[in-house]
Amino acid sequence: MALTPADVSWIKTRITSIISANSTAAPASIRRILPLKDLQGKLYEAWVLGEMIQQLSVNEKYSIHLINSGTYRLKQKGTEIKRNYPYFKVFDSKNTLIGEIFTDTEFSSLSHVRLRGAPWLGPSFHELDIVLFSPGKSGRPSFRNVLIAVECKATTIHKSTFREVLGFRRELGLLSHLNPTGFTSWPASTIASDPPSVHLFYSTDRGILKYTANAAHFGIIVNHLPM
Amino acid sequence: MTPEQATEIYEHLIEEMEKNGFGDITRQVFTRQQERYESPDGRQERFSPRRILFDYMDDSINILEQMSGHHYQKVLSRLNENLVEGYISEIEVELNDESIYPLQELPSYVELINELKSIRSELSESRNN
Repeated sequence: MALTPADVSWIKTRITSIISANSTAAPASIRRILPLKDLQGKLYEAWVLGEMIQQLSVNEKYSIHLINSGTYRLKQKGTEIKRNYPYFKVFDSKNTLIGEIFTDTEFSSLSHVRLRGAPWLGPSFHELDIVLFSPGKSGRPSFRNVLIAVECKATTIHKSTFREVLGFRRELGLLSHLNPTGFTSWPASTIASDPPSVHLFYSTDRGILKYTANAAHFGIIVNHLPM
Repeated sequence: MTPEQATEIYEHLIEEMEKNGFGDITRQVFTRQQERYESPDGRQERFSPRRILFDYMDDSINILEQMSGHHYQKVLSRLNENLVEGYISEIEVELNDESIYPLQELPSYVELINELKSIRSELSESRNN
């Protein structure tokens, strides 16, 4: 059926009504000191954390133990390792501790380590949404201690986002031939990086998939993971 | 729906989104469309007003679905289902001023999403004049 002018008017009224009814919950609204859309990104970070735990459990047969059970606290801004916050210990099938998972935690960058004696400034470290460090680390561990680095974006991917990811990869390791990661299959058994950390990039936007091959060349695995 | 009606509804939708704090959704939709339809020589293809309206609605619905707080319980369950030891009872965010935001309080967009889906469905059933 064709639309009459009255139909169009009715549809416009419904649009106005439903959108204005949600205006206080809009992404532009501010909740305390953080825009709502950034808090929505934190829920996605928790979703990706669940995905990582599942993949390590199912594909690598690892056992994941939560330390400091109860409320899981994410952080607006990255910090050094805080062991009084919840984190995870990852054991292999022989009950050997292979690593520890932290969220919103910083690592010392490759450039800082190479610039021996450089002052400790902002560019000396970067924040990872989720990171699996080799066990027993403290402070801001070196890039050499990163086993899996995870970034999460619950938003639309711009080309500039991909350039940002490439820069991040550079601070985690150098491009190399394929090196064994120590994992059987997930997230990858080999990676084009020295040291062989696996850099995972998750997005809710399917558009990320067009960067798959280019990212893999630099040791980055991109994933489209909707909630 | 005539091309003029599609354009009228499309412009109204964008205006209401912007006016009510959802302007970021529109900007994300435009970025997606730019990335998706960019031809190799950099020129964007041209589409009918009807297609532009439906693409905008589909992308907006998809973006809102990914931002909605109604996923909270599903996220919590998934976090717990593979833990050998320990249990997560809730998820919160520590803000820079050390205050706490419980993610359970994130707004749900389910009603907005459902109404936009319903309008989208009715429009797609209307004859293309």
